[in-house]
Amino acid sequence: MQTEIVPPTVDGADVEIKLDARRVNFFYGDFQALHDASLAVQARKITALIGPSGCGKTTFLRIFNRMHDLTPGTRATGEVLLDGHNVLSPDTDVINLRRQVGMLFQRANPFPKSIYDNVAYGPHILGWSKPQIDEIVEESLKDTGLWDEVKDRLRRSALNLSGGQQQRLCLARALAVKPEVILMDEPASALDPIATLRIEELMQELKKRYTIVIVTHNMQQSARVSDFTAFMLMNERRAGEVIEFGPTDDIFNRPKDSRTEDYITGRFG
Amino acid sequence: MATTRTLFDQELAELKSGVVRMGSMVEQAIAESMRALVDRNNVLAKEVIARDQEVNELHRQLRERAFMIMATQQPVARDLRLIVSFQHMVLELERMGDHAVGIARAALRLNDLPQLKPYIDLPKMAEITESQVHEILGAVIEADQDRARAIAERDDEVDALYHKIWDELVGFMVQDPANVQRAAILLFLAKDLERIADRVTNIAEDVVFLHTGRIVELS
Amino acid sequence: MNLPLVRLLVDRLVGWLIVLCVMLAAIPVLVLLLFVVLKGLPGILTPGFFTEPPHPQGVPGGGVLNAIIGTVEIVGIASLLAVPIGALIGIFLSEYGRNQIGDTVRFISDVLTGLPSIAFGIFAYTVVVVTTHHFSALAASIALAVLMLPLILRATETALVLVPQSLREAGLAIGAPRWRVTLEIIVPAALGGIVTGALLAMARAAGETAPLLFTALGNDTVQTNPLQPMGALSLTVFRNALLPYQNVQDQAWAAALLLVIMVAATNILARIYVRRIQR
Repeated sequence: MQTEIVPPTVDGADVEIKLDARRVNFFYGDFQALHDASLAVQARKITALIGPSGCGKTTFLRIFNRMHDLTPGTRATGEVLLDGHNVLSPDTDVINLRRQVGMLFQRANPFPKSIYDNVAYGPHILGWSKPQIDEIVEESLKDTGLWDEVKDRLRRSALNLSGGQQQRLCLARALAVKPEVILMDEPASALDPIATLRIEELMQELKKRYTIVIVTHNMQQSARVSDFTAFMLMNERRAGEVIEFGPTDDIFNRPKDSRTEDYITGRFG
Repeated sequence: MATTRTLFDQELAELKSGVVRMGSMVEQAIAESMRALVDRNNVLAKEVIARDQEVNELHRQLRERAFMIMATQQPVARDLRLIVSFQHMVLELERMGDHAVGIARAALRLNDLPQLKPYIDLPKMAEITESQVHEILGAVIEADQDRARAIAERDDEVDALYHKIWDELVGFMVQDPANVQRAAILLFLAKDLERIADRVTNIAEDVVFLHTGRIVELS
Repeated sequence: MNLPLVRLLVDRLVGWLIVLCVMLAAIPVLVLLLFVVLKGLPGILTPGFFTEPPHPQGVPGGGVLNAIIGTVEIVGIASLLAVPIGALIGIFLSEYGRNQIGDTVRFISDVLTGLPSIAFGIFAYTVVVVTTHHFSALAASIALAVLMLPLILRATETALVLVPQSLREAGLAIGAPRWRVTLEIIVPAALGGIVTGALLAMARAAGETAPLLFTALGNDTVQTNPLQPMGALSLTVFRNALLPYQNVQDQAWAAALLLVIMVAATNILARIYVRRIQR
């Protein structure tokens, strides 16, 4: 049961829907984890998914780049349209999809290689030439604010970086393949407050060029950073549903659904 | 709705009861200052002036407490609107208390002079104003925005009486220069009453904001 | 009675008990090593031990050059066969083998690990020696390769399974096909474990005797042709121990000591390599 599934409009602006999830149902074998979940993600905006643990927000996010394929026995029905094409259809080029829709994970997972090789791996697979790769590595590291910090040690192992730096490196790695959408699964939850704020600042910069969807259990972060927020909850059959979706200002000041208000005011039992 | 913020809810409840208590004190001050005028009672007038200190002190405490709650509890949505509304209401109440003091001081000066005329419209205006104050406190307690809107609409009656009194007093001043001093003091007294009624409307707007999150101009 | 005191005493007692058990376990190993070292040193220190093949029986002097070359060559060829195949099977099991096929392969591998090594010898005898009408080092290498295979396979699979799933997700999430993620990210990350597994399997194979008995047969001359019979250190120990000549028996002890040193060196090498990788 959802209160709001119509894409919310920003007054005066043209609304371009980049990623359109329509009535997605998701199953682990017989167990239903998502029920009729819909979400219209606007291009070059930050959309946040919030909700208590187990409400299905990470499950939902991972459908957008077909990462659920890695888990055997899973099944997704419904549609997820990326620029009009349904990514859930069997004839989707999943490899290319994952290039277009990048992902940042909860814990930074750089390859145990050098900093350069981490960022260069994606372009290398795409068959770019060495000078092209050099350029994109520098550009990506600059875009994530890491270039000045690592430009003298590109050949050193990425595992020597701090947690915040590693996460920014993972972001640079995702940016190097020129995605259109970036999915972030609680990207700052393992980071200290200052590293967290740096990631948030980066997001504000990045949203000028990329569409961002972020799952977060930090409500203040969601309120600070996102343009739109979707609140999810588990229903009685323990399947996740989207309860309310709208501009972040509305969700945090005047939520329409009392369950949303209970959650964001911390009165959720 | 299960609550996991009992301490926070308690603080909000205490804040609210503080606001209501301050409202009652101000209500009493207005009533007594008008009675000091009508009954020509200087003792009562001086009491009103002295007790304003308590109103000011309560104002200070409540604003500080509201600020501390915001700093430590990071309220959002309904809670934030509540605290912001209360902060504003408390400010309006403090000003209303100052107006009551103004009325009391006017009464002190007038009581040493022969009464200009029988006080008819002023007490009527005061009665409506006092009833407004009482009603708006009720709306705050019940968190009733419809009641608040209705109260705001009654402000027109107060304004009408105010203009009537104004015209009458100006007439007195034109008639006889000896009337000017007393008429002037009475003008300012009427103004104080009118301002109190205006502030009731402001508090009504706060009650509406608390509910809707939108700031609307009432009346 | 004073409870803390009782506890302290019991603590001390159990501590000493554990030390005693460790000593009991370590003593046989240490005694064995001591024996081998003491008995083997004279042989190793004789001039010509490393540079000459055995002399005819009754003639003093000689060495185990043929056996050293033999062990290195036989184990070398076996490794060339077993390591790539074992590693690939291990990769398959880890990345694509979470199913019945994988379980079957694992089961067979576990059975093979438990087989007595002489069975591999008989297998190679039947399949290679009889069909080629020749004893040969190659037959021995094949026997050893089959012996090494399950060890390398399991070590590879374990090393790969230990690589966190988050790394696979990271590779796939930037649009890399699965085989590239496996070969270019996961295997390099597990390389330490794979190499260690290979080195340990090689050390094990170097010490095997039974599979060589009727495959390589042994050879007192220095020769490197894998299609011919070849000597090996373990065979030298086996044969020389039963001969009545002192210098020959010394050579047996020395060969045993040499084997121990080689195995120990390989283990140490493996550890150093792992430590270097982890830095």
